[in-house]
Order: sequence, then structure tokens, then C-alpha cells
Amino acid sequence: MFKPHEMVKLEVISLNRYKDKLLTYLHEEGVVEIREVSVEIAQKDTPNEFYRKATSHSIGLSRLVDFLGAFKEEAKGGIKGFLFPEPVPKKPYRYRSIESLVKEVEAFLEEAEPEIKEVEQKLNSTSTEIERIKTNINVLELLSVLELDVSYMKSTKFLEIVAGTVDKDKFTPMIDELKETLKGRIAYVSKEIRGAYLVVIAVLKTDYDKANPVLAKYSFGRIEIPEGKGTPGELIKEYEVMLAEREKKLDEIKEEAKKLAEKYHDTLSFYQELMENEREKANMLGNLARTNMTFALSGWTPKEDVEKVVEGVKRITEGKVYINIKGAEDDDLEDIPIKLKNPGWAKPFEMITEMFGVPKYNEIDPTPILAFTYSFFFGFMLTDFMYGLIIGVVAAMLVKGHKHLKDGTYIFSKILLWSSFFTMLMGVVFGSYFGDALQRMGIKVPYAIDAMRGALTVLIIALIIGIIHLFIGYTIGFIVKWRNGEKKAALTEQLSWMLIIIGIGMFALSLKGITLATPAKAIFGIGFVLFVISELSNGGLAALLIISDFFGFIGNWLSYARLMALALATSGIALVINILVSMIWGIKIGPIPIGIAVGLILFIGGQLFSTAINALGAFVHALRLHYVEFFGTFYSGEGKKFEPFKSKRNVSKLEMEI
Amino acid sequence: MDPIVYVSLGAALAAGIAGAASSFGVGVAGAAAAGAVAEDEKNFRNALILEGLPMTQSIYGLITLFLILLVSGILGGGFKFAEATQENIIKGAILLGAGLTVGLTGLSAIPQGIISSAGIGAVSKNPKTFTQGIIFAAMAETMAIFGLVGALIMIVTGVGF
Repeated sequence: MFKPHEMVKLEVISLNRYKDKLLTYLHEEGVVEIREVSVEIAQKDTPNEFYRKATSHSIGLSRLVDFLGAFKEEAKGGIKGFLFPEPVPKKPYRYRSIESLVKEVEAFLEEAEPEIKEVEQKLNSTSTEIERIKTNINVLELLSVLELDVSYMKSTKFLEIVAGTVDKDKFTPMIDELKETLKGRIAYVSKEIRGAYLVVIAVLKTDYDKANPVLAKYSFGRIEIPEGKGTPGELIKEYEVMLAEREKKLDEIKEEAKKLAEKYHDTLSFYQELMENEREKANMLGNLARTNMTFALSGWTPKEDVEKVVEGVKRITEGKVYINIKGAEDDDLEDIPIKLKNPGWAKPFEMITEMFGVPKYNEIDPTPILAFTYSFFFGFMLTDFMYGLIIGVVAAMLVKGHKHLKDGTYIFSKILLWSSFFTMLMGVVFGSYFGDALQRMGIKVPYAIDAMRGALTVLIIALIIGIIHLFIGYTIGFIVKWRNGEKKAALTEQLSWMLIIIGIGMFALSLKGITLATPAKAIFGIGFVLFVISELSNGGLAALLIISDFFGFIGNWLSYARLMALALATSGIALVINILVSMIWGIKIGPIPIGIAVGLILFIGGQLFSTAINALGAFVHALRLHYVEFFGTFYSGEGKKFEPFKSKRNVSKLEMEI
Repeated sequence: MDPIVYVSLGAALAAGIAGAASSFGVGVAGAAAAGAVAEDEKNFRNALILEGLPMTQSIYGLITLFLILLVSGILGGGFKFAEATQENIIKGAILLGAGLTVGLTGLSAIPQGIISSAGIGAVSKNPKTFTQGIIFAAMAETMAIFGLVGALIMIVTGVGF
């Protein structure tokens, strides 16, 4: 807690023949972040033939998987699929070497690829044909207004016949110009349709070169005349028969593709995942150094995993290996990857910290504090027992359903679960159950504060919470800087604000007669002097910055007023819904109490909407209070996140022969 | 002017200006959302949430409207400030001020919609920017929240239940 995992540097030198297995082992373990070995005496390692093949197969396979995936029977969707997703079985693969894996994949592809490609090609050509027939039918429908045999619209030995459309206002000038250019050697039929003219023009073959520029000038839109004989009406019927035939064929091909998907899709995605992981290994080779006989790799690993890794490496290399383990040194500070370390209850909140950025190795990890304050702020802003209950139930279901996946939804639901607890707690404090629904029904509920009537009290509470939150931030910053030897900065940048806050706090208490005002002013004064000193280093701009930074602090503080505003917004919306419901509750049409039915629908729908919109607001603004106001006091988030060399296994599982 | 004019103007301006601004904001973001969904249907959920952000200002406006109606007695009972006494006019004017504060700060829904629409564009290119996009949009809401805080103080301390 508060500190990230302790990291150590791992350096390994072994024989080339163990390289592939060793990399595979590390890839499956996924606890080492491999870094580039600085190459001076040796050379950089490069992928061999099989790694290159794996890379190209990975791309080819993913294309096939995409094609067949479109025809695969869909898994159960909907709410049930979202709440309780089925676990995907992982097929085991016994890994011997990359060579044998690539050969196996190639053997499989030899069988499957031509079959799939054939269906794909058939599918494409039939679809293209259908498109062409549809275009022809459209053209024929257009031409049908002319009632002219289609075969007459085809060019002959001496005549060039063009059909097309032209804008209404360009039609007459075009025909006039054509007549003039061709000295009257032109015949045409035309018909006006929807603000344009459909024209079929016949000219002599020898005149065509002269006519063409004129047609282009008036943006004559040409139409390709479909093959066939008879009037357009007759031809359309013929084409429609053709279309139905092709569509039937397409359905048959789709059936075929479905069968293929059934047969090959899972195996294909299994091999695709294997190849994808090989590709990743191939990319990692560039970070290794090698000689003719040996290779070297280096990387960072958490101290708690080191024993297991060393033991595994020794086993794989049969002891023919040199391993060096170094603790982190001050020189490495910028370089050490950060893996956050927190107890189970705070673990989900690492997501929020990581979204902003992880701390540096010598800084404090704020996750445990954030775990508490984030869910508390969320609860304070939502402030309704029933809303908390709804969110809690949904989150609990999601946690249960996604337990085997440990995915983003699972982590997020756990955060929501904690937040819903505080929401219910604050709901009880404010006596809010679907807003004032219970009070309206005449049931007395106990409460500590009435959010509406005691708005000022809520505001004061919000501001007190805010200043405590900021104080915690400055204190952490002070501790970190003091410990890391930046004592001057700790005094001027952090202690100054801590004193100012203590001063403000004591002064507020002195107004109530609890403490004396004089020491409060003195402490505030010292803090302010320290603050002014810190700004003096900015030279000429100091005066300006003193004003802007001080009011920046006040602004940050007042920003916590949103706790009160959103708490009131929740009870406000609930109040609005309850008022509307109680207004229509008593409406009756004859003896039928229609008001109750409509009222219930309005109540349930309205309150659910209110839960959703207010939860979104609480989520967003709790996040903002941490990222902007809280982290602004001490947190850089400039650390490098630990990104282990780790395989991605969704449908496959690797078993190693050792 | 009669107090009723102040009171109903306050209620109307709070919900009216904030609501109009919200619809502008949602409109701008919605146009971007439609584009993002056309690119990839998976963007729907993220785009919908971002599009909904500028809606909150209209809710603040609505809450203010109801509070004004409630404290002035228009909702439940009868209008309390019917007589044009000095005190009633002052109370009515305070309610007008409160409504205007929420209405004008509610204009922040328009820039929020612009930020949201940029966020939707960013999310459709890289879904990882979702949370950051939300935070950027939430920045613009701060002013509306300050407006609501101010108005609530005016209503509760200036007029009271």
C-alpha cells in the first residue's frame, strides 16, 4: 500500500538453442518487462525465417477469421449476455518449437485456405453479378418511359447511339449545338422526367468525335444500355428472373460459408492467436543481443516474482545460464517500470490512478486514499438510499457474472459496488429514499440533514470535506518531497498551503469560540509568507503569480461546492418526479384509477432515469475532483507503467515441454 | 411590477435559457455522434454518454424552476407573494435573480456540446480517450454548477421555505 511493487533488474545470458523456449516461457509467465540490451560488443538479434513466417501467417489468418466470423452463429446477446457472459473454453496446445508450430499451421492452411478462398470468391462474384443486374433493372425502368425496343439503342456498324440524361435547362441548347456541329445529321428521342431529360441520340460513327465534346460540355450523364432484346418492360421481367436465381445462389453460398465457419472458425482463431503471440515474440527479439553461440536479455520484474522466474529459467536452460539480479538504484529512477501494489479492497481503484498516470518509483501511490474518497464523493453526490441500492444490485450482478473474465467491466463494477455503499449511507443520513417519496406517502423517516432546507449546511460540509481533501494532498506531497530530499520545495510549495489551510481552519473554529483567533492568523501568516517566497523565484512575474495562484487555490477549494450542488440536484430531480406523480395519482376515468397506472410507470421510469443521469454526474465529477483538484496538489503521474512481456490467450492455452 | 412577474420570469428564464442551451449542446454533440456511429456501431455507447453530458444544464434549470414554484407557493397551496408589498417584491426579485443565474450559467451547455463532439470524434478513433473526453467536457460544466450553488443559496437564504 502507498508504495508500488519493489522491482529488480534481471539479466540473463544463455545459449542460443534455448532462446525460443525461454522467450516462450517468459511470454506465458508475463511477469518480466523486457528492455533493450545495449549492444556494443555483440549484435542485435533479428527474427529468423520461422518468426517471419509466423508474422505473415498471423495477418493472413486474421483475414480468414474475419471472413468466417461474419457467418458464425452469434453467441447469446442482450442483457443476459452482458451480465453473465459465457466463459470461452481455452484449447490447449503443446509447444515444442516455433518451427513445428509454423509447420503445423501451414499444413492446416493448405487444407482450409483453398476451401475458404473458393467460397469467398464465389460469394464476391455472385454479389457483383447481383449488383450489376440491379443496376440494369434500374436503367431499364428509366428507359421504359421511351417505349423503345432496347436493341434499337445499341450502336450498329454505321451508327453510334448514346443514351443518357441532361439537365432540363441544358437540353435545348445541347440539341441545338449538336445539330449545328453535325450539320443536322442527328436523330434523337427524348422524354422529360423529374426535372431532367432522358435522351437517346443517334449519330454517324464518323461524326462521333465531333459530337462527344458537345455532350461533355453540357454534362451529359451517360447510361450503359443493358444487353437483350424487346421493350424495357419485357426485359425487366427477364432480368428479374435472373436476379431471383442469383439471389437463391447467393443464399446457397452463404449456407456453404456457414458450414465452413462451423468447421474452421474456431480452429482458425486458435491458430491465429498462436501466430499472433509468435509475432509478438518476434518483435521482442530486437531487444536481445546475440553472438554466434549465446544471447542476452535484460528486463525488470517485481521482486516477489523473481524466485519463480529464476527457477523457471534454470529449468528451461538446463542450468546452462548466467543470471544476474540487481536491485533498483537511484540512477534507474526514471527507468523503473511501476506496478501498483494494493490490498484487495483498493485494487479496483488502481484503474482510476492508472488512467491519470502512475507515480514515479520514489513517490506515493494515492490509490488507497482515492479508493475511500472517490467512493465517498460519489455517494455524497448521489445521496439516495434507493439509487444506491439499484446501482449496488446491478454492480453486484456484474461482479458475479464477470468474475471469471476479470475484465474492465469487472473492475468498474467493483468500484461501483463500493460507491453504492456510500450512496446508501449518505441516503440514510439525508433521509432520502427515491427523494422524498416516503415522506409524501406520509411515512416519517429519520434524517440528520434535509438536503433542500439545509442547503447551506450541506454547502459548509462540502467545503469542509474539500479543504480536508486538499490538506491530505498537500501533506502527501510534503512527505514525498521531504523524503526525496527536495526540502526547499517541500517547505515553500506544500508546507505553505498546509499552514494556510490550518490557519483558515483555526480561524473558522475561533468564530465559534473554540480556539483563539490570534494563533490562527499567525499560522496563516507564516504559510502565506512561505507561499510568497516560493513565488519570488519567478522574478518579475511574482506579484501577478501570487494573486493568480492564491485565487487558483480558492477556486480549487470552492470547486468542492459541486458536492453540494449535485447532492441537491439528485434530490431535486427526484422531487420533480414525485410531484408529477402525486399530481396524476388521483386521476380517475369513471371508476378506473388510471392515475395509479400512469403514475407507477412515470415513477419507475423517472426514477430509473434519475438514477442513471445522476450516477453519471457523480461518476464524472468525483473523477474530476480527484484529477484536477486533488492530484493538482502533489501528484505528477509521470511514472512508467509496468508492461510485462505477456502472451494474450483468449481461446488457446500453451503447455510447454520442458 | 407585481411580484408574480418577477417570480414567473425567474422560473421561465432558468428552465428556458438553460434548456435552449442544452439543446444546442446536445445537437452539436449528436451530429458528431451520428458520424461516429456510421464509422463503427461499437461507438454507440460511448458516443451516447458523451452526447448526454450537455443535458445536465437543462436539469439544473428544471430543478430551479421547481424550487422557485415551490418556495413561492405556486406549486402546492397558493401564491404567497400576491400582494405587492416591499417585502414580497424583494423576494420576487431574488427569485428572478436566482433563475437568471442558473439560466445564464446554463449557457455553458453550448461549449460543453462542442467539447463533447470533439470527444466523440476522438473516441471513435481511439476508445481509450473516453474518460479523458468526459473529463474535458465536465470542465465546462463547472460554471453551471457554480450558478446552481449560487441560485440555491439565494433561494434558500433569501426566500426560504
